[in-house]
This record gives sequence, C-alpha cells and structure tokens, in this order.
Amino acid sequence: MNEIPKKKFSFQFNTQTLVFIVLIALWTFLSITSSHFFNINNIRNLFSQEAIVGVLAVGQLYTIITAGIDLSVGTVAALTNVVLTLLVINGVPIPLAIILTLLLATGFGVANGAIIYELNMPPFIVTLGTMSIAAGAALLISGGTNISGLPISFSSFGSGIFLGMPNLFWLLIIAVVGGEIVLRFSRFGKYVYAVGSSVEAARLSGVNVRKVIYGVYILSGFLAGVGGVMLTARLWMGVPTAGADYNLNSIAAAAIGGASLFGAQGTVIGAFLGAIVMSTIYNGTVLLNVNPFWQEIIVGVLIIGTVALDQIKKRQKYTYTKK
Amino acid sequence: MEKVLEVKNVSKEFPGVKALENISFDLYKGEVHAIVGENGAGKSTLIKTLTGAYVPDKGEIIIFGNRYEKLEPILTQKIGVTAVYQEMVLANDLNVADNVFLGIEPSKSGFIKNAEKVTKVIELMKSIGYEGLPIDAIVRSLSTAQQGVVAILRALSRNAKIIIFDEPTASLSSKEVDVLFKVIDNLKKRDISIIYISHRLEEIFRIANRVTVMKDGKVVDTKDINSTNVNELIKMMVGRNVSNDFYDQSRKIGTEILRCENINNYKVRNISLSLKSGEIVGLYGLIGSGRTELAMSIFGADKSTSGDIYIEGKKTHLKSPEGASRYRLSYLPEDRRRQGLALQLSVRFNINIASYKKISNFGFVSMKKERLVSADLVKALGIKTPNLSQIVSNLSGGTQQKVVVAKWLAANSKIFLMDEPTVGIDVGAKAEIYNLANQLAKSGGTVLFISSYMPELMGICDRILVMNDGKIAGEVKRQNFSEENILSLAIKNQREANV
Amino acid sequence: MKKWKILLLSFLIGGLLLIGVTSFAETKPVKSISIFFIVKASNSFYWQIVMNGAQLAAKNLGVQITFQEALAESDVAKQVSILNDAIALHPDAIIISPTVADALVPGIEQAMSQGIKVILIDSAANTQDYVSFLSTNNVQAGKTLAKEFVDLIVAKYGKAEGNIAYMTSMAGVGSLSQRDQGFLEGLKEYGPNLKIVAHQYASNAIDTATTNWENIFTANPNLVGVFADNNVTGDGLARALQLSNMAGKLVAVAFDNDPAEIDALSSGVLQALQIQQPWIMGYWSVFYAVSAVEGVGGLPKNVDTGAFIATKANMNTPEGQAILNPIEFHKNWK
Repeated sequence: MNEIPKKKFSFQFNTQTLVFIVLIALWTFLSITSSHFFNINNIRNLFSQEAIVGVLAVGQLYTIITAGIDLSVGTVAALTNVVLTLLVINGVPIPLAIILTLLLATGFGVANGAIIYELNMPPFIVTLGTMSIAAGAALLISGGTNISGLPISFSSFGSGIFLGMPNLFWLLIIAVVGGEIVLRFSRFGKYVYAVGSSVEAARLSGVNVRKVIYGVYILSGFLAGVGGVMLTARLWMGVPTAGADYNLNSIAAAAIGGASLFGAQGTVIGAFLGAIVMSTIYNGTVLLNVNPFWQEIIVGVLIIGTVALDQIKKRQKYTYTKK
Repeated sequence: MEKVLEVKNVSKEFPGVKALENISFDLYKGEVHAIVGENGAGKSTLIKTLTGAYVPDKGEIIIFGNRYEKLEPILTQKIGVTAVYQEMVLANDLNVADNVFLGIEPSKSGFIKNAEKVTKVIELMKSIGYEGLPIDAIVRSLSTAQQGVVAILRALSRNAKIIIFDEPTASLSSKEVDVLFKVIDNLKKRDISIIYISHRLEEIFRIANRVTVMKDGKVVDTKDINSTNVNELIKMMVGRNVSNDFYDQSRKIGTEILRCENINNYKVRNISLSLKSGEIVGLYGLIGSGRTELAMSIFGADKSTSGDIYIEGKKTHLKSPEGASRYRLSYLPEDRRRQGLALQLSVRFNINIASYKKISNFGFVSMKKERLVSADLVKALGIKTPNLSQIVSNLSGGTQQKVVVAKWLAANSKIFLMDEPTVGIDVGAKAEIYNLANQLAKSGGTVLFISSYMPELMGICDRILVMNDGKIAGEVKRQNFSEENILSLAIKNQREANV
Repeated sequence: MKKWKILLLSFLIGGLLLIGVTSFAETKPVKSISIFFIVKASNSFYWQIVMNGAQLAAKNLGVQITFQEALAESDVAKQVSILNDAIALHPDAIIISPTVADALVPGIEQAMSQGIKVILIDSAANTQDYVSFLSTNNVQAGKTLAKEFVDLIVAKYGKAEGNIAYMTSMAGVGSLSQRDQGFLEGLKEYGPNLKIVAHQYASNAIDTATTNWENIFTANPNLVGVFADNNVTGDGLARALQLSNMAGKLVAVAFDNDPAEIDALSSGVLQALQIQQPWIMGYWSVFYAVSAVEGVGGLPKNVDTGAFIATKANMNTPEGQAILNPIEFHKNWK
C-alpha cells in the first residue's frame, strides 16, 4: 500500500445527497406546478412548519444511532407546552419559566436513560412508557383543556422573522448545526456511533457506555423541551394533545435522512433534510389541492422509497467491493 | 456389517488452505465412530460436508447406498443425517416439546395437535432411555446436557439415522457426561449410527467402536478402539513437523510488565502469572477451560474478578475496560466481529475508537490527528484497505484483525492480550499476525497469545501456560515444547476435576 | 328570539317531566339513580361545558353521575371500550355522544336490551334504539352560519362573489359532516357566486389545522372568506391568520366557542362563531335520562338544543354571555 487517499467522502454523505436530490426534485416539481410554492412567504411557512419536528428529529437521531429510539419526544414537547403556558399565565417570568420547563423535559431524558441503561430495558418499551406518562401528565395538569392567555410576546416570537427567515427556523438551524458538530467532531459523537455499532466492542474499547446512553436520551429530552417551547410560540396556547404526530414524524425524518434503526448510521443533516422533505409534501399537497388523504399515502411511499433506494445503492456498493 | 455412510476421496479447498485432502471414511450401522484431531485438522469441514453446508470439490459421498456428489442441508435432513452442535441451535424461549417438533408440528388444518406432540415426545424419550426431561420446561431453563438431549430428540423426531456429535461434552460436568453417554448407548441399540467428535480422548475409549485420526486435512488412520490407546492417538494427532516457525530469536526479554496474583472470577481459580517485556507467552487450553474469562478479568471487563493485578510494578484498580488504556493494556477479543470492531464504521473510526481521548481537546476530536494516526498505522501494519473511510465489515478477516491491533497501538498499548487472534484467518494473514506479535514484543511490549491451535503457539511463544478447568495446570518452557506435553496438561484429570 | 323560545320550551318540558317523576311513588327513588355520562373527549372546552351542565342537573336532581371520556376525540376504540365497561356496571342510564356513527351501535343496542336507558347527545348513531337524541340541528346551524357568512362578505366587499375555503376537522364525524353539508347548502342558497377553491382536513389537531390553513392562504392569495367547522379548526384558523398577518383581511367564521376562539372574536380575527348550546344539552340530557328511568312515556325522539351566532357586536349582551360563558352564567341556577 503506497498511497492512502487523503480524503474521501463517506457513504453517509451520499445518503444525504440522495435525500437532497429527492428534495430538489420535489421543490422543482412544485415550483413548476404551483406558482405559489417558490415564494418567500411560502418558504418561510414551510420552514416554520418544519422547525418543531426538525428539532425533535435531531434528538431522535442521536438515540437512533445508538440503535435506540425515543418515542416520548412528542408528548414531552406537549407537556412542556402546557407547563410553560401555565407557568407564564400564573406570573412566572418567561425566562425562568422556560428554564424550568427545559429542566422538566431534560428530566424525562434522564429518566429514559437511567431506566434503559440501569435496568437494561429496551428503549422502545421504556420510551413508550414515558410517552404515555408525559401525555397523561399534560392532560392532568391542564385539566384536559387547551389553555390560552399567553402574553402577545409569545405570539410575535412565533410569527417573527429574523434575517429573512422565521425565528423558529433559526432555532432549528442552531439545533442542527450544533447537533451535527457534536455528532461529527466530538468524542461523545464518535462514541454514539461506536455504541450503535456494537455495545460490546465499544465497551471493550474502553468507551463508557453508560455515559453515552444517558447522554443521548438527555439530549433528546432537552430538545423535546426546546420543541415544546417552540410549540408554545407557534400555537400561542397550551394544547395538551399537541405533538401526538411528532414521535413518528421525527423518526420518519431521521429514517428518510439515512438513519438506520439498527444503529450506527445517520447524520443530523440527513434528519434535517428528511424533515424538510416531509413538510414539503404536506405543504405541496395543499398547494396543489390534492385530496388531503393522499398526503399520508405519499409520505408513506416516500419513506419506503427513499430508504429502499439507499439500501439498493449500498448493496451495489457492497457487492462491488466484495468481488 | 452394513455400511450406512461412506466418504470416498473427498477434497475441499478454500483460498490458501486445503481443508480436506482425499478423505475416505466410513460408518457402520449402530456404531459410534469417533473423529479426533487438533483444531484445524479438518473435522468441522468434514462434518459440514456431510450435512450439506459445504460442497466438496472432489470425491463422493454414499449414504444408504445412494451416491451424492453434493448434499444440501434440506436433503441431508430428509435422508436422516443430523448434526448436534456444540452450541445447540434451539429456540431458547420455547418449551421442550415445541423445540422437538419445531417445523414439523403434528397438525390438522393449521392447528397444532398438542396432545399428540406431547405423547410423541414421551415416546421418543423412552426410546433413548432418558425420561427425566420436563416437557413443558422452557429450553433456556434447562442444563446444557438437557439441552443436548432436546437436540437429540429433535434429530430423532426427524427420523435421523445418522447423528453427528461435535464436541458434545465441552461444557458438561462429569455427571452430565454420564447421562449423555447412556443416551448414546441407547441410540446405538436402536441401530442409529453416530459420528462423535471430541478432544477428550478418554471419552472416546468409553463409547466409540472405532476412531479416525485427522491431521492437516488428511486422514492419518482409522483404528478399532480395542487396538489402540490414548498415547498412540496423541502421537498420531500431532506427529508432524511444525513448519510454521515464527519464533524470533532477536527479541530481548526484559523486566516484568504485568503480574497477576490470585485472580478469581466465576470461571477461573487462583491464577497467578507474570509477563515480561519482549516476551510472547502462550495460553493454551481446551474450549471452556477459562482462557477468555481470565483475559477479561485482567482487562477489567469482568465484574466478578478478585485478586491483584500489577502493571509495571504498580497495583491497578481496573473496574471497567474504560481505564485499561491508561495502563496501556489491550484486549483483542476472540469474536472480533462482534466484540472487537464497530463493523458498520470506517477503518479510521475503528483505529481511533480506543484513543479519542488522546486526540481531542475540550471534547472535540482533532480530525487531522484522527486521520494521521490511522494513516500511519494503516501503513505501518500494511492494512489492506482502499481508503481510510472503508467500512470494516467489507475487509477480510486478517485485515480486520490488524485493524484491531492498530486500535490498541493507537492507544499506545504495551500489553496485548490476544484471544484466538488467528481464528478464521487464512494462512498468509496468519503469518502476518505472528510477525506483528513479534514486532510488538520486540518494541518493548508483551503478548499473551491465547490459542487452541498448538502449532502456532509452539511456533512463536517463549513459554506456554496451559489452562485446565479454570486453573493453570502448568507451564511449558520453549526447550520442553512438545504437543504431548502440552496436550497432556490440558486434558489431564478432566474427569477428576469435574467431580 | 328563536333560541329563547326553545329554551323556554325546554323548561316547560322539563318541569312537566319533574312533576311526572315525583308523582310515581312506586318507581325507583330519584336519589338512587345512577347515570354514566360518556363524552367524546376531555380536552375540549365544549365538552367541559356539557359536563358542567350535566353536573349541575345531577346535583339539582340528586342523582349519581359518572363521567367518562377518551383522551382524544379520534380515539374511537377507546370510547367503544368505555361504553362496554359502563354496560358491565349496569347503571340506570347512559348518556353518550358517539364519536362515530357506527362503532357504538352494538353497545348502545346492548345497553337498551338490558334495560339501560340510552340518551344520545351531540352526535347521532346509526340506530333507532335509544330513548332521546339531544343535539344541535347541525345542518340547520351550518345553514344559518352560511347566511351570516354571506352577509359579512357582502358587508365587506359589497357583493357575494369570490373564492372561499373551508376545513373539516376530521373525516367521518357525523356532526361535522352535517355542519359542512348545511354550510354548503346555505352557500348555494345565499351566495351561489362564492367559489370553493380549497377544502382540507386537520385530523382534529390544532397544529395540523394551523399548518394547513397557512398553506391554504399561500395557495389562494385572494380568498374573500373562510369557514372552520369546529373549535380545533377554528383555533388553527385564528392562529394561522395571525401568523400570516391576514387577520381582518378576509371574512373568517367558525363553529364552537373555546377561549381562543372567543379571544379571536373579540379581537376581530374571527368575525362570527356559530355556537351550540352545550350547557343546555348537558343539563337536559340528565333530565331526559332521569325521566326515562322513572318510566315517563312520550319523550321526544329528537330534540334540537339550538344554536346561536355570536359576533363582536352581540358577544357582551346578557344573551351572548349565557351562550359564551355558560358556566359562569348558570352558576347559581337552581
């Protein structure tokens, strides 16, 4: 071996490229078929509609890379939304209220991590449980009703625009950029992949598996809290049943973006693109006045299609190098 | 006597290895025919050929008078050949009856006839003279021997006429062995023919009618059990020149680096050993003798460990592998694909995984150092990869093993606990691993080379520690190396030890 | 006022029933009557009001009442199992608002066959096997809202012409289909030149409704009016109007009256709310249930509990308050 090529893009980049191509295709198609699609206001709408699922998908992605899953993100976001609304309405200063609710959401992450690692339970079951607990708590605390009466500042933050793009979108960008940097360049990020590839190999290589498991669920819980705060700004009220769709949508976003539920694969950028793809479909079907029931079908086909394309591509590559 | 099975001039070649060379072998109705030989002698390949897992390159197999050039697993089941493997392939969470009839459940319009199933299992149990098996019990809750019986029942439920046992007693206690042998006796009486593979020679004298010795993919001889003895078998098994001599005279043995005193865990008892710099020490023992468990304890990966470990004179307090790299201690696991590598990730990642702490600031990894470290090691060890981003699952076994070594070199390790580092690696790559071990020792490190393949240990080690039933049965110095010496330590007193 | 007539009539009927109840000495004592009250979902203000009415009625009559509901209106299976549990406990009467028209039918018929009196409220079930059905005539309510809608458009634009859009909160819900049907009928009658250019669903979730309304506004920049057929789509509509800076730029009407909608009405984001009288519905359903248990004959099969259009102009009148803040308004009712 004389030459070691200095740098070559990893296959993950290719997966993202694939999603990116799908996205460009969708956008091109919609720009041609609807005069309203490629319009600054619509793009802003699309991005703020995507923002919450996108933020949850970042946390979700971390758990998925460890071959885990966090089914509780959506209802933790809803609980955060309700608690934040109640705190603010009852006179707690907004910054303090936000900190307290983020702590609450992070607490759910700690609980998920602790139960999964210490009791060695499957993440699917554990987070299914905490999902239900958070949903119930949101209803209990709110008395089952929507709570309105938030100060106008929440509303204006939710509809506000900064540097041409919605505030909520900038929060998503912070989460995505931060998430990608940590995942790609930090030691913790490396260990997340290592644990997802093989817990035993990671442990025998000196990785502290406990820290990694706690870390990803705490991050996911914290981001669910951020999503909940964003939800509060977007809806301008506390809605205990909001967020029911977010669990599966965040998983779908990660999967479309190239994450494997078997672990060790996926990138934040991919999940981000996946979330945009999904929002685009919801947006596009309304713009084109497609029968709304087709939305779900199209999303389903897209999830399977994108992941299948990715698999086919990988298999070709595999057999290519093997022979 | 009627021949039920005959193997004629079968050869099978893998890239770089002649696994079977002109093998001829036969089996009579109702006899136990033992096959013995060292690891790598070709026993497993022969079995896999008989069960249809491998297709022979040459030769033919005659079963019940029918000639086959190749067999397939489904076909062999149909004609009545079944193997009962060392790790029983049972559905652990189903009960005994379910397991016995898995796939061939007596049923009527899609519904399983449970009563009939139970009756049939009881009949089968009677026929082998073993009725102590709780039919409703979940297989996981049974002892290893009982699980073996379930596997036998499963074979019988499929009308097996020929049963192959591969190391069935490796993890059984002597009482359990007695149970198994009683069952085998009953099988014999029912005219079922048995191929029996074991390292434990004295067992063979208890149950076999004939024994075939294999070595280097060839049959040395087939003997009537009454016309031979243990010593003759051992001689036949090992009687060859060790051609692969990789011993490096230029290694300088220096000061003690690792000393273990009275290591105990759930498997090993009172182990004390010492490794010096520049030294390669072999650790031999049969499967189940506790070699891996000992390595895990030294590496801090076994929570049940007690005893003291000194590294360069300092007492360590390793509670998890996390701290091991600080002591420049490394472990190359036996199952490298599952335990040694992050298979879906890149070469670069795998080389750096144990040393990210070293190349990061404030928790962030220096991409440049990550690349340089891995590039250097890829070059130094001659790791054959198209680029650093190559996913390791696509590499060959030998290259993968080098990646594992590189991982620990990156972590600056000095003490290398290598657990079966050459398993599943072709001959050429094996040589590279031996040379690598020599290099590691030469540069001031020390290697504990765990292997069940004696020639390789004799080829490179300064001395060989032999484990037997969780204890070190003895040490053989290089000048006294002989397979007889080592093997007798490894299999001596097996029966007594188990009682 | 039509609504007040209905209310008065209801009082009269109720009074008669009460007399009937007390005059049958040998029947079951009122105090020991137990009623199961199964609403669609707990998380809506609408059902809170219904339950408040029922609660007060039960308190006034001295009967035992147990409330049960699924967490979300879309959870049909849960409501079916709640009904089955209720039947197993064999109360004297069950008051239920079926989430969908078909799934609850077997349970309702089973209850009736076991002598449990079933009163339906709000939404119909595909069976005739019940005592009484108290509801808003949704078709009628949709129609009158359409008239108000057209009037508002004419007031704003001078003519009933242009593009409009509407949103159904959830597919397959009887009361919503009827509202939509009535609204569409009303449009044909009062504003045949208004053109429907978009129709969406919202899986009964406010965030989905908000998103879909935003997208509708984008796709159809020159809408003159929009209609939301319940509080979820109404909340989403109000929120989307704010987020898109469209509040007041077109005519927006909705059904129901949860606090966010009332807020939107008073701040001019929404121009009219068609409000049912859930409080009355809840209150009277208990009276009907008790009457049926006591064997009062001739109870009407279908009872329209009426609807009321609230606008910014009438929302602060006492009449408006009785409808908009029924719990507060009826607090001291005896």
